[in-house]
Amino acid sequence: MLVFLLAFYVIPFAEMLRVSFGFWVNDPEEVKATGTWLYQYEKAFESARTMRALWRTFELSFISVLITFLLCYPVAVMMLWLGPRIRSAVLMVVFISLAASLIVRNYGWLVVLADQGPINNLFVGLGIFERSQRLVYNEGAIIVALVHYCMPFMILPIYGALIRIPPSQWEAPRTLGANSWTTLRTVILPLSAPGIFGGTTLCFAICASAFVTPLMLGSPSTAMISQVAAEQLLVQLNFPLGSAIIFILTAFTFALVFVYAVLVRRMLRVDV
Amino acid sequence: MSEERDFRLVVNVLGWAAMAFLVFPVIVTLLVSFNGSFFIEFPPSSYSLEWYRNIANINKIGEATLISLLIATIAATLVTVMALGTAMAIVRYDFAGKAALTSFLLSPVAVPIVAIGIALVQFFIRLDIAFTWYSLVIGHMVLVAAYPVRTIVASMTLYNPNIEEAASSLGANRWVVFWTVTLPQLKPGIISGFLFAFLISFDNYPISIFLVRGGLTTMPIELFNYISQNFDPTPAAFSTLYILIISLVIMFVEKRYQVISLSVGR
Amino acid sequence: MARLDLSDLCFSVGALDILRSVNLTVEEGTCLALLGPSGCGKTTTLRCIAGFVQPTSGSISFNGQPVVGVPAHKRNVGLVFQDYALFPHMTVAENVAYGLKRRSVPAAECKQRVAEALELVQLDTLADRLPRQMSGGQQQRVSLARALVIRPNVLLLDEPLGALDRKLRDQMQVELKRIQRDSGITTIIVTHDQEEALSLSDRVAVMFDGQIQEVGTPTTLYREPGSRAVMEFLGASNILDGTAVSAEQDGSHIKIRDSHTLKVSDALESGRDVQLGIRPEQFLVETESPVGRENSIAATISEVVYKGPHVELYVETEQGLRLLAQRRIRGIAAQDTFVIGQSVFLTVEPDAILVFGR
Repeated sequence: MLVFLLAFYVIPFAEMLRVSFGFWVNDPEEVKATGTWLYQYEKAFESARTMRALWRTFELSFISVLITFLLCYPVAVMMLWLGPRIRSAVLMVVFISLAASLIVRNYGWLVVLADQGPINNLFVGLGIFERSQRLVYNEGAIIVALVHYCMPFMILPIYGALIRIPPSQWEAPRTLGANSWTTLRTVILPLSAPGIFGGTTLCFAICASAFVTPLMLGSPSTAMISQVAAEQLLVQLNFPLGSAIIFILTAFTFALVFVYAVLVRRMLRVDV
Repeated sequence: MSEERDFRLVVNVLGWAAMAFLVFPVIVTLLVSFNGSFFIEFPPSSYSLEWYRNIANINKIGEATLISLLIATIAATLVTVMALGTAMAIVRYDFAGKAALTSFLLSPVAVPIVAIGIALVQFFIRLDIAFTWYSLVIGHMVLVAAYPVRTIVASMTLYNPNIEEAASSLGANRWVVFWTVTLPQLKPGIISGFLFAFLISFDNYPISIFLVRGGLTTMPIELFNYISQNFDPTPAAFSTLYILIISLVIMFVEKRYQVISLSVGR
Repeated sequence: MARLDLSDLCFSVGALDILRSVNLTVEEGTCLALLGPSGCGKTTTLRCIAGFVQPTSGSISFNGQPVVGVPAHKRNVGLVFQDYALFPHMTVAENVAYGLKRRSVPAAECKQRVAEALELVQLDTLADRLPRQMSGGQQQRVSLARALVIRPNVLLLDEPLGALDRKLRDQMQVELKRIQRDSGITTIIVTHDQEEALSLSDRVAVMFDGQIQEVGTPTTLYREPGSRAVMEFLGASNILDGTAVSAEQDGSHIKIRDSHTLKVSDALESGRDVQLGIRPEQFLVETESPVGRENSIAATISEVVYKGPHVELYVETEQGLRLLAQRRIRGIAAQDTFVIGQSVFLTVEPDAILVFGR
């Protein structure tokens, strides 16, 4: 397995890194240019469209992860209190949505947000909208779909962390004078930090590299960074620039996750 | 007491609302798939099964689904077999850099999927095997490699190594021990790892898009193309069938192997 | 500090009665052990007092103030959990300060009280450690300090020594007793370990099947238990069925199994069916027949179990009566070694036999 990953994972990435330091043969200007080995990176950082996409990617990812967390933490806590049958039913639903195709799930949102879809019809019926609104092909639709896609990836690790907390940790703060909310804030939340960390980083990685979702629910003006990179490769056939953009994304993602890990570890004294 | 009741009430309301959000699109899709009109409409004004018949008209959908099934099966099988050996080495033996190796093996999950696709397509073009079955299978294997490693390691850490010694003390040799004791114990981990790998491969779009050309195509790609070019509810019918089949498979596997409880860990 | 009263406390889940009328009083500043086999309802009683379980009926009061209905976090009850329930993400000092923070105690006072509490449990030098860096016994003491620092009405200890190994247990027993005495807080210890109950508490309440069977000082409960069940639960015992045959001035004769007659010091009318209880250590074990003494039984040794300070002898009489006797071992003389099949004579004083009605 190690050999396999070395051959088809490490080497291609190293190769891509090398390409990203090179020039694009199809561009006569570049061949002539005497730029440094960071030429493609300079070009990426100079491109307003790329930078906008990069910024949008992290902005949308951050918002989506935050909403996902706020939605999923109550689900995970609630699951602790459910009877075994309902709990396994809930877990099953979570699992099935994890396994259901991303394209299928995004399509579900295309339907829900369609011009004659339930949301539009409901709002028109209630008189909130005068007539049908275009609800898809914007950043809001991307966030909704990303949140929806990420939910199982958030619920499962948080629930996994919560069931490891002994019931006495819920009770001990109460004997010491804490009410339920204080208990949650001062003890349960910090103790579930490993699960929260796992869930949020996984979701962040998913959102930051989102490709299909913005393609289906966004528009060219809401392009995320993966799309911009893919475009360079598939449409322009500019491999060096596409590779450079991908490395910028990967580096930023890893750096953010690293900073996040250090912060969580320092603040909560929990190993994550 | 009432304070605690309020707390539980608030958490339960929020939790169920989030669950409703999770299943809402599925239910809408289900209802829309029986829609009679040519456009997506909810609530449907009339009903028909036309869109189920129309599934066949999605370009190359039969062939593409078959290819996806094959690729997912091959990739998941190969990866699971490799993962079994790797996971056993990780859990059984202590060696320098074990933690680093483990995080390396699990890292493809965190790398942007598009990056894997882009890296591989360049690599395969150089090797001159781009846009072939090989490249597609290998691409999917890289994508899903981490999942069986993770589940098998999880099932091994729960597992009591003493029973292997018990088996040896009862006269079983190493191979017999492996076949009769080790493997059955790891079955849930193996099955769920395979299942994960299979589903993720089957569903993949961002890697496939770089590695397919011409006649070689996969289900997600054709489904995506149909959705972006047509607005009729045929994909809703397809989605409904897809989710139905997936649900049945997962329920069956869970019933036999308790896959879910394993991945949540206890 | 408070006097604790439980009266007619009942709790049931569906048709299952877990507590059926528990009545108990713990005087201010004293320590009571709630002893019983697992599943007898002792932990439920504790959780009722702490406020985690709402009793179906009955009342709980601290100093006469009813507390049923008061939420757990307002009861001011100190609870030491079986698994200690220390907050793993807080240092020892932060753990102990937790309850004070919830009570908005000013920082300076908080600091001082934490220091005092840690001193009481002799952990003042480890205040900045995290729980996972401490041994089981130390964690237990942190948990105790955390419960004591809030100056609780009642201190509840749930199987306090259950998770410790033998040697540490003995040390902690002494320690716990000192801390309880020094702090003077009304304490209830829930335990299934009779030795723990007897050695830690001023009084012991034996609980069976959702009810308090008997309450008394450790000495009376062991020496003169009021019922056969309590006698059997506390330590080893021989229980024999018999019938009174004749009454005398200083006691009565009880016939056991048509074969043996034992004299007891209670006056019983003849014909009455009774049960006799004899502690194994009350038997005098001799190898030669003690001629002319009453309450002597001849038997053969069927099993010998060496226990260190004493030896347990399982014996059987010719008539098939099985008894357990204990003999303390003094010196290293050969006469103290018993072998299977050996004939011995067991003698018991009449006033060492307890009589229970049937």
